[in-house]
Formats: sequence, C-alpha cells, structure tokens
Amino acid sequence: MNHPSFLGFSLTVIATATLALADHPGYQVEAVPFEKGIDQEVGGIDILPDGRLAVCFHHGDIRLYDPKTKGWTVFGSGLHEPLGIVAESSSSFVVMQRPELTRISDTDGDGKADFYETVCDDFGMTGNYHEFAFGPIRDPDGNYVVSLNVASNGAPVRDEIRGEWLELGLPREDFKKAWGTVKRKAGRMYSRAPYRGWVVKIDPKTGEMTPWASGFRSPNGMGYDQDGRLFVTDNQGDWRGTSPLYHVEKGKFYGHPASLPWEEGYDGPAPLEIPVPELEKRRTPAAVWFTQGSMANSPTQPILIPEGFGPFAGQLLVGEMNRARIVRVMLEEINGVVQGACTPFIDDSGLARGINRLAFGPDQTLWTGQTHLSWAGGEGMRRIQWKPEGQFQDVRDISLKTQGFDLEFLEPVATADLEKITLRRYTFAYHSAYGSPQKEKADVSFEIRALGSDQTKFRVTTKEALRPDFCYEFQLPMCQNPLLCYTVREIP
Amino acid sequence: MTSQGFVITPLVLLTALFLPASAQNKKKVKTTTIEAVEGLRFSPVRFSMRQDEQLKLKFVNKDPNDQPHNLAIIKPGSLKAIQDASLKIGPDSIENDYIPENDAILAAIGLLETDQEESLTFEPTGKGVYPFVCTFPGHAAIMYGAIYVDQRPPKDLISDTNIPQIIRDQEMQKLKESLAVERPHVMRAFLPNAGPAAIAVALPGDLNFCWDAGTCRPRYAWSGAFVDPRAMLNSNGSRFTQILGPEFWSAGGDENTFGIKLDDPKARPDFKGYRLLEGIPEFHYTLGELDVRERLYSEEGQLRWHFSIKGASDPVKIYAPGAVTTTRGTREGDFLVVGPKSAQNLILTIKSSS
Repeated sequence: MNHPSFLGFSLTVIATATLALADHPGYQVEAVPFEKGIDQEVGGIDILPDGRLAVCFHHGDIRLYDPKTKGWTVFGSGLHEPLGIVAESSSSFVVMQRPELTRISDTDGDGKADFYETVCDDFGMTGNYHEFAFGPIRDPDGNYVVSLNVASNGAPVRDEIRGEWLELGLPREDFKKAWGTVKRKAGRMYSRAPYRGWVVKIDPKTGEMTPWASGFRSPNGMGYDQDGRLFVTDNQGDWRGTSPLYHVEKGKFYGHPASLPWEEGYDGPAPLEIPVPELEKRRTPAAVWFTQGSMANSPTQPILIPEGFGPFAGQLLVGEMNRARIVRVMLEEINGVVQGACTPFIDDSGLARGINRLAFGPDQTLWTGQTHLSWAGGEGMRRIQWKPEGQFQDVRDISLKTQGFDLEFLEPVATADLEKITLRRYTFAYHSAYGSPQKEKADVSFEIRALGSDQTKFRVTTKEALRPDFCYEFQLPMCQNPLLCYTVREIP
Repeated sequence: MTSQGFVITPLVLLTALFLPASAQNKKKVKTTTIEAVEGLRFSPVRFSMRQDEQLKLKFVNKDPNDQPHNLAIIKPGSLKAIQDASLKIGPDSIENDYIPENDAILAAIGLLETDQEESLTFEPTGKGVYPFVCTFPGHAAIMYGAIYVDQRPPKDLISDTNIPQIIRDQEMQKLKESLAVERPHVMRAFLPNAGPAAIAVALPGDLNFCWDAGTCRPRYAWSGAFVDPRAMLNSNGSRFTQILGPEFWSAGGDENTFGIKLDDPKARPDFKGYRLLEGIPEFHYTLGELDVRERLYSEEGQLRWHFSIKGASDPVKIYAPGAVTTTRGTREGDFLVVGPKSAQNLILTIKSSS
C-alpha cells in the first residue's frame, strides 16, 4: 500500500539530518530503523522485561523491536486504531483499541498472537470518528486506566451504535438528517454513548469498569508521577482555552460538560444548557496550561523521568504533536492543589513532530513514537539518551512564593544575564467556543536576587500581586529552552 | 500495428499548426516531457496545466520495440474522431507522418524513432481535457493521454475515463495486488452495514465475511478480493474500509436477523474475544445462559458456520431463513431448532453460489 504520508516521513528524515548541527548538548537523539514502506504511525509503546519494545501501530499491528539487533518482528495484527499497549509479560499484551480493551497473547509459544481476549467493552461507540480510546496505563494497584474521547460534530453518529443512546438535547433523528444544518446544536464535541469524555478504571481480572472522572474532551495522554498521582492531558478546543494538564482524582469534573449526563443519577439539562457559572463552580482547573502557539498545541502522554536520565528526575515529560518537541513539567503542591510550570525539554535536535507515546527502557533510554492520524504530526520512532558529560543551562526547578518565584538553574547565571529575563502574564477564557486568545496580557515588573552564593538559585519578586488562574511566562535567554510558563492556581 | 513494410521518411517537424493570437503575450511556460514507452503507452499518461500557461512539451520515443510514434494534441472531446480518422489514413499519408488532416489537431510532433526527441509549444484556448494521441496506424485506440487544463483530474488513474482502459485495468490490478492479504486474515475496522465494533475476515478460497463484535453475529459475506482500508487509514477514521467483492449473503438488519434467538428479547450478547485456530477466528460470547463459540470457515467453496453452544437446557432456536442448511435439528419455518446436545457441535452451511 502506498500512503501519501510516507512522503511526510522521508521529509522528516531529511529534516533530522540537517538539524544535526543543532543537537542538544545534553541528549543524543537517533532515529529507530524501519523497513521501507511499512506503517510507522505509533499508537503505543511498552518495554518487555527483556528490554525489547512492544509497539502498536495505526494499521493494527503489534510489532516487537529488539534494540540489540535493531530488528522488528510481527506479534499480532488486525487491531482497530490501537492507542496504547501494556506488556503483561513477553507473550501477553493489553491493548486499547477503538472497540475494546483486549488482552493479546501467544498461547502456543510460536511467537505470534493467537488469543484476543476482551478485557472490557462496556463503553459505548456511536461510530463517530473522533471517539478514540486512549490508554491503557496501569494505576499503582494494577488496574487499567483508559480515557474515552468524545465525538466531534464534524460528523454525525452511525445508524447502528454500540451501547446505550443518550436522548437529551438534540434528538437522535437530527443526527440522521442533513447534519450540516443541525450540527452546531450538538456542541462542538458531544457525548451520546456511555462514558465518552470520562477516564475509567478497569479491573485487569474481571474486566469490571469503574467511571473515574469526567469532563474530558480529547484526553490523549495519561501518566502517573512518583507519588502515584494521575495526570491527563487534553487538547485545546471547546471548553479548553489552551491545552491543559490535569491532576485527576476520583469523582472530579474537568470542565468539558458533554460527559456530565453519564454521571450516576444525572437529572440535569443537556450539557450546553448548564449555566457556565455552575460549571465553573464544579470544575477542577488545569494544573498546568500549555500555551497554544508557543508551548504545545496538542500535548500527548506525560511520563515520569527516572533517575539516570539527567538532572530532572521526578519531573514529567509530555509529548507534543505539532512540533519536534518534548515538554518538561515541574509540579508542586500549594494549599493542597497540584500546580506548576512547563518548559520545552528538547526542541528539534533530531526529534520528529507528532510525539504521541513515550517509554523509558530499563537502561534509562527514552523511546518516542510518532503519529498524525491525518492531522499535524509525524511518523517513526526516536531513541533518546542522556549524555552525562554534556553541559547546558536550563531551569532545574521552579517554586511559587507569595510574591513571586524561586528559580533554580542547572549552571551559575552571570549577574549581567539576569537583566535579560522578562516576565509577562495572561489568562485563558473558559467557554464553549474553540480555544481562547491570551487575555488580560501584561508585562510584569520584578526584582531578582540570588539565594545563596553559587549563582544558581534566585528569587523573583513581582511588583504586582500574583493573580490566581493566570499563566506567568518567563523568557530566560541564557537557557537552552528560554520559554518557561507557570500556571498559578493557589498562592502560598 | 507493425511499422514493417512502411518506408519511414525523414522526420517532418510539425510544430504548432495552430497558434492563437495571444501567443505573443509573455506567458508562464509549463515544461513537460512525455515519453513513448513499451506497450503503446505515453508516460506520464496525464498532467495538468493552467490555461494562461504556455506548454513546452518535449516528446521522447523510449519504446524499446523499435516502434515509431507521433504525438498530436487535439481539441477536447475529439478523441473518438481522431481515432477513427487515424484508421482511415493509409501509406499515402506517410509524408504527413500519419497525422490526419483534421481541424481537431491543435499541435503535433511527427514520427520519432526510438531515442529520438522533439519539442512543441502549445497554448490551450480554454479549460478542458485536451487529449494527446499517437496516430500511427493501429496505435490511437490505446495510445493516448490527457492534459487537464484548469480542471482537476480524478484522484486516481483507475477512475479516470480520459486515459486508456488498459492503463486503468493495470492500475486496478496493481491495487488489488497491493491490497491482497495472506489468507486467513483478520482485520478490525469501521465497515459498512455493521455496528462500529466490526471485524473483517478473509478465508482461504476467496470467501470473506464481516462479524459484528457488538451484536456478536456475522453480518454479511462476500467473495473475491478482501477489503480496501486506505480511505479509513488515510483519514482519522472518518471513512469506512471498503468491501471489494460481491456480497453473496446478508444476515439482515436489526429485527429479522440471523442468529440465536432467546425468548428474552432483552438478552444482549457479551463479546469475550476470539482465538485463532489455524489462523481463523473462533468467536466467543455469552448470550443469556448460553456460552457460545462460533467459527466461520470455508470448505468446498462453501461458507460453513460452526457453533458450539453450551449451557442450553432447552432446544436452541436459530433464526436462519433461506440459504442456510444444516444436518442437524429441525426446521420450523424460518427457524432451525436444535437440541441442547446437538447445539454443542453444529455446522450450518451458507450457500455462496447464488
């Protein structure tokens, strides 16, 4: 099969080669070899106990990659848009495909899958193309966590659906008529089959599904931090002024109202008729905003940085679809609320666009897998290794204070360079329209002074009082990655 | 169709026979090379340009079979007339390099031997599809191509009626080869006329079927080529995977549909997955008290439907009108009624020759 996207891949390879001059001083990026002409859109990556990689692909394959031989073998095939994989052993994988969470096993020892066992299919499908199913990842207790995309009004629903139909608001008949004339009434993104817009947990043995948290739109990325806290990314759009990272807890609502009618005992109006102030009151806002246009447009999977991968262990990395970038997230808890900052981690330097999935190998190698699904993005895989001898400047960590921020740099900062730092702030609207411009933008004046004598720690004291629900954007020209944004929710 | 027996005269270069008045205007030049290649073909067989451009076309004869070829750009819609005219010109038109005298001819290059090349310039007089054709005796019927002037060509060659059928057939063959799968083969996909959780299966013997993992039953079967998933895979899933062969059996819609019927109309099947037995899936589901495994396979050109139904305390009713036969149980109208014991190993045959 000849897919036009292969052209995109070859261009990516060329771009990679020309960017070699701009390699990151602290990290080595190299492309993973693929057979020519083979599907390279990655839906999920996990690491086997023996160090091999299990990767699932857009066209439905599960293939195993051996980093030692750089060779691929096909394990299974025929899956429907798999977007996540967990290796339960070297011969058994749990994959989230559009219709089901499926355990795929080799039971006769020939190295190929022969048993496709449904773990859970207790969620609905209207057949709308945007009803992706993301995950699974495992929670600290071993349960599978899955996130379910809502439908897009770019298309109606199919005549035949799986599961219950939600008859609320726009009648089902309207989903069959001339869609163009009624689609606006459905909401930009809608949820008419169970648990669309939810994060759910699934018992790995019984397959029992527990709705966990609601209010999601296109939650293509889940991960746990070192304290067992669940983080989920979402994509700019309706009710998403810019793309967010949420700290997700059981029973909470994360702002996109389409999912609310699937709450147990829900007797409220159609989602678009719920007054916005009521939604405001209920919702848990983002722990981190990824500023659209400068930080990330479509953030993907968050992953915990292990020890042995450079100076940022314990923080999170997040993939990004629209540019060749991995974003780094620094979190802290203030007044019981998890919030924090983001900054590019690696830009270009051999990366590709479309970084959809990330996985750390046992040798602290970071693997990335790219996709695009006909949107912005890329293809193929990259292997990223830390160069312990490589020196570079970046903010190692940031912490919010009552009247400013404490910044900790990797390397000493010359006093003259401090004057080059700038700070501004802005916020994003919460509304049903698609995205939000930066609102109430203003430069922020501040003083900066060193803490301690080694010129790596500094306190930034702002001249105006900090404002909750604002993003504070630093430009730090002395850094490898000058852009750094802190999302203020609580102020200590 | 052979050039032997004809005396080939030195080339007569017939550049633009027809020059529009606007030729003096400075126009953007579009440069294209067309080759005559083996098998009486032009390559490329089509290209696009704008009507405000001037075409500079280089024609190269690369035919390894020592066939002479000419090239004439002709008026939109005149292909049939020129093909007919080319049949009528005889050896006496050698001097004109077999280019018929016809108002439809807008520009032409005379006969070229292998490895010779010539160029012409051409300015279209409006939008449309301008054929180019070789009028050497016997060639015109299959040796032509199309210039799309301010008009979008069909996306693929297969559906382009302005190019020779033989090229479209070859493209279709190439497509079929690229879509061929090693049978048996299982592919989950968005398929037409099924629920959103559907499975396509290719069986040996060029039989194929769609099984619905939502309603747990086969939906339809077709013969011949398997599926074309490109539309689905090249979109974000907003388009269906296409069925390639003719359907020979359908299980019907939601109400009167083939399959096990329980007295409890609310009973819904629960899909447990499938196991590959010699590459062919054996689907497993529960329905009420029943634990069902079913496997469709091909045998002697027929589609067999094997059931292993456990947990039945009463006879099992299977709605199966028409072209489905079995060696066990009794037929009661549109239903097959099978005893609990027989239901544990039951084979139905779906007729595939109708």
